[in-house]
Amino acid sequence: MIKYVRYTALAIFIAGGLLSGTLGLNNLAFLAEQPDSPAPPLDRAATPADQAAMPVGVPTAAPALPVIAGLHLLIAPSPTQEPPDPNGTAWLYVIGGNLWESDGRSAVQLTNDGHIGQPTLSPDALLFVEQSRNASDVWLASPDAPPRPITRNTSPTVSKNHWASQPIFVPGRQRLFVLGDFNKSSTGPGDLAVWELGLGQEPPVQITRPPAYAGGDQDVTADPDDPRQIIFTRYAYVGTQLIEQLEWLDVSSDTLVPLTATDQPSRQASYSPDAKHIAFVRRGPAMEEDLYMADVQVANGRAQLDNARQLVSGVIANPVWSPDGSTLAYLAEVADGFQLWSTAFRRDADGTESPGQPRQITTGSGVDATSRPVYLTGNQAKQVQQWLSSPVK
Amino acid sequence: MMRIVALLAGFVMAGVMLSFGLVLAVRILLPSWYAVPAALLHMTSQKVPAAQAPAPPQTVVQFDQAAPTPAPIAQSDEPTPVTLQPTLAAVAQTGVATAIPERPTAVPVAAESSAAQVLGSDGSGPLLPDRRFNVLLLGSDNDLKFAPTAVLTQSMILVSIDPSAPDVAMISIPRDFWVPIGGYGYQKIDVAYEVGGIALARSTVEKLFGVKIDYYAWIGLNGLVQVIDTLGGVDVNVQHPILDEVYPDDLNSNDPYAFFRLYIPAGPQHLDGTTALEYVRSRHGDLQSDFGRSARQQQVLLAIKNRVQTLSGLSQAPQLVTDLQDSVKTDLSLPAVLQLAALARKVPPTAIRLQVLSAPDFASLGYSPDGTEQVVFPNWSAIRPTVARLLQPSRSAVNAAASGN
Repeated sequence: MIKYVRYTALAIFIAGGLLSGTLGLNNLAFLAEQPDSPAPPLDRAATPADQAAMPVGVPTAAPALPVIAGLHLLIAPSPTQEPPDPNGTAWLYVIGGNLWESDGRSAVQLTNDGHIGQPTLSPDALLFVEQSRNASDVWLASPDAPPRPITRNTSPTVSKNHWASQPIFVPGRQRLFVLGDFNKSSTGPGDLAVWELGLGQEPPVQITRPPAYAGGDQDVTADPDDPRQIIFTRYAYVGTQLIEQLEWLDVSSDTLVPLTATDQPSRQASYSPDAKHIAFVRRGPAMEEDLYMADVQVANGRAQLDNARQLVSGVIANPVWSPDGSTLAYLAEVADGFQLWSTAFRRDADGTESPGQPRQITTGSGVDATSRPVYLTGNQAKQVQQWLSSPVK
Repeated sequence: MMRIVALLAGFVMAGVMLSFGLVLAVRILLPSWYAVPAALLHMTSQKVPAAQAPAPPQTVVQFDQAAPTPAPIAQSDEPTPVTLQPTLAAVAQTGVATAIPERPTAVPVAAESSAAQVLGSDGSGPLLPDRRFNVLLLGSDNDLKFAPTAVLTQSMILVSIDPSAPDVAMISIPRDFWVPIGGYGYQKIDVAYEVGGIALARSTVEKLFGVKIDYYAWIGLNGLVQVIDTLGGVDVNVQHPILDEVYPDDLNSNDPYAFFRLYIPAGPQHLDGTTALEYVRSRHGDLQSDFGRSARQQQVLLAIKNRVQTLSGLSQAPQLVTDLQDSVKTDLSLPAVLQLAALARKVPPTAIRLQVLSAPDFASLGYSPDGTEQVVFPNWSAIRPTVARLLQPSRSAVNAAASGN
């Protein structure tokens, strides 16, 4: 009798274990669910159901997703996207911390890192910035190698982090100008200066020395004909008055010349391709930020601006010239954030140029007004996609 | 042997049963707590999300076509310059100041003495008066460093509104003003709210400035973020680069004294709630310190006003009220708040006057009598006539009234 009781108890014990184990496995399956993950794994094409669950604008297939060091690059043109016109015009710009391209017909998202901005292009490479919580680094994408950081500014010690921001290529050279605080003892902890970097391991060279506690310099642009001559925005205080001024610097002779008056706050200059003009933004009397252009004259080793004229009134940011100098692209505020606009120049019979009607290029989600847009040809648009699609190493 | 195996199997299964039974019980009884392991599981998975932040919809206008969405684009071939409608917030110029360190919270804590009505408790309430009225706006760093009921006011802005003009004056009161606070002797003015709640803060401002405070509104850190995010962000022209090596990281960490490095480039840009909070809260790396911060606060308030102006029919109002339930205290009724929002849409930028009571014109910098605190001494002979002037209708409002507009 006792024997039967033992076997019965054991059988109940095992059956109970099996039952509860089954319940537990069901629970485990519930645990494995990820209801807040809208995206399919990217090593396979998304199903229609996946696509329906994904946010608008996210490419649906990503055959190779390079992921390293916190950077997630994604190249995934929509399968239905028409190939870009190789001779057409396209733009590279930033939305929500990601690079986007548009050829005027459709837009494609190039990255999904969420912390990328400030792209700039040379004939054979792309620079952009990835910002983390305490630092930012400049990345290089080119046909020669996978995208790679060319600065290493992150440190576990917060105070030892550095910024690298707003890179531009030095025209005709394998070097770049960038805003940075690579040596905080020389710039002060609260200011960024213009530095020159190589693409290799050589140490950065400080170019500008901003006054302390005004935020530093920004918006550097280099003379296409003489890249040792640069224009940038300087922030400083005269008494209690904040000054925002365009400054011209001959790096070779260390000659610094203010280009704009202290009572005409100006910023974000951009050299025209022929180096004869700059486009820039100037604050107007009603606190609007108007688009201007002016002629740059250099005589006796010093520069000056002449014939400054207003092109567009509004809230404008970061104008850039098309490679042929015929058009300006810029960010302008509309009812809901900033959008990409362009203004082409008309050449009159007497040879004078006047700006035409502004055209809005993008609509929808706001474009990042702190990143300069980049003009691309159709071929360059394709190249940029290819450079970014290489696996990151 | 069989029995031993069966017993072991039974024990194993019982263990499994116990474990998953516990998980099941927690899942049923404590669903919110249960979410933690699920989130952890998700975080540690090796899958990479396709888009870490939802990618925004982005359409493109045909280059030769008009934009499908309304945009204030010039439609004619008139000679330049062309005007795009500006809506960016302006900023006041302020005085210069040396850096003033954060003040320790050694002042006794008092309970909130005001019968604060949380916004949106019901849909009824009195409307705004027809005459000029004054609102005291208070902002606090209500982070982990402080008891929830005893926070300093990092921001004090006296807003005077004449709805009939319409005309608005905004006067930022430096937090470090060394003033008499009823029952507590001389203190920094930011202590008034900490020790006596809204009642003492209100009466202190009323006595010092000789004005009647009709309403107040207090907002905490998360409240500001929520307001701006609900509005879809604000467009601000950042006046100079903001580089703060020690910006408080108290909202995203358990360490109330943690910090991170902040960088906001200068120029027009769209700020989300978090970035806007960082913009108005940062004080390091700014030569004007708290005075510069006050000017930025006014600038973001104007940006909020501009944003409200662009919203159609205040459709976000119910969401806003929901968002603000725990983050805002005010004695304005919900109808009055909606009235204010509607009024904000009518006030032209030229009818808004901004003033920061900064050094050297309105204050001087120094130390408290015991030498332990850097403080700001108000220059009342300059402040009172300025405040009186600001509380009169502006010239543009007078002109508009005279012309019948």
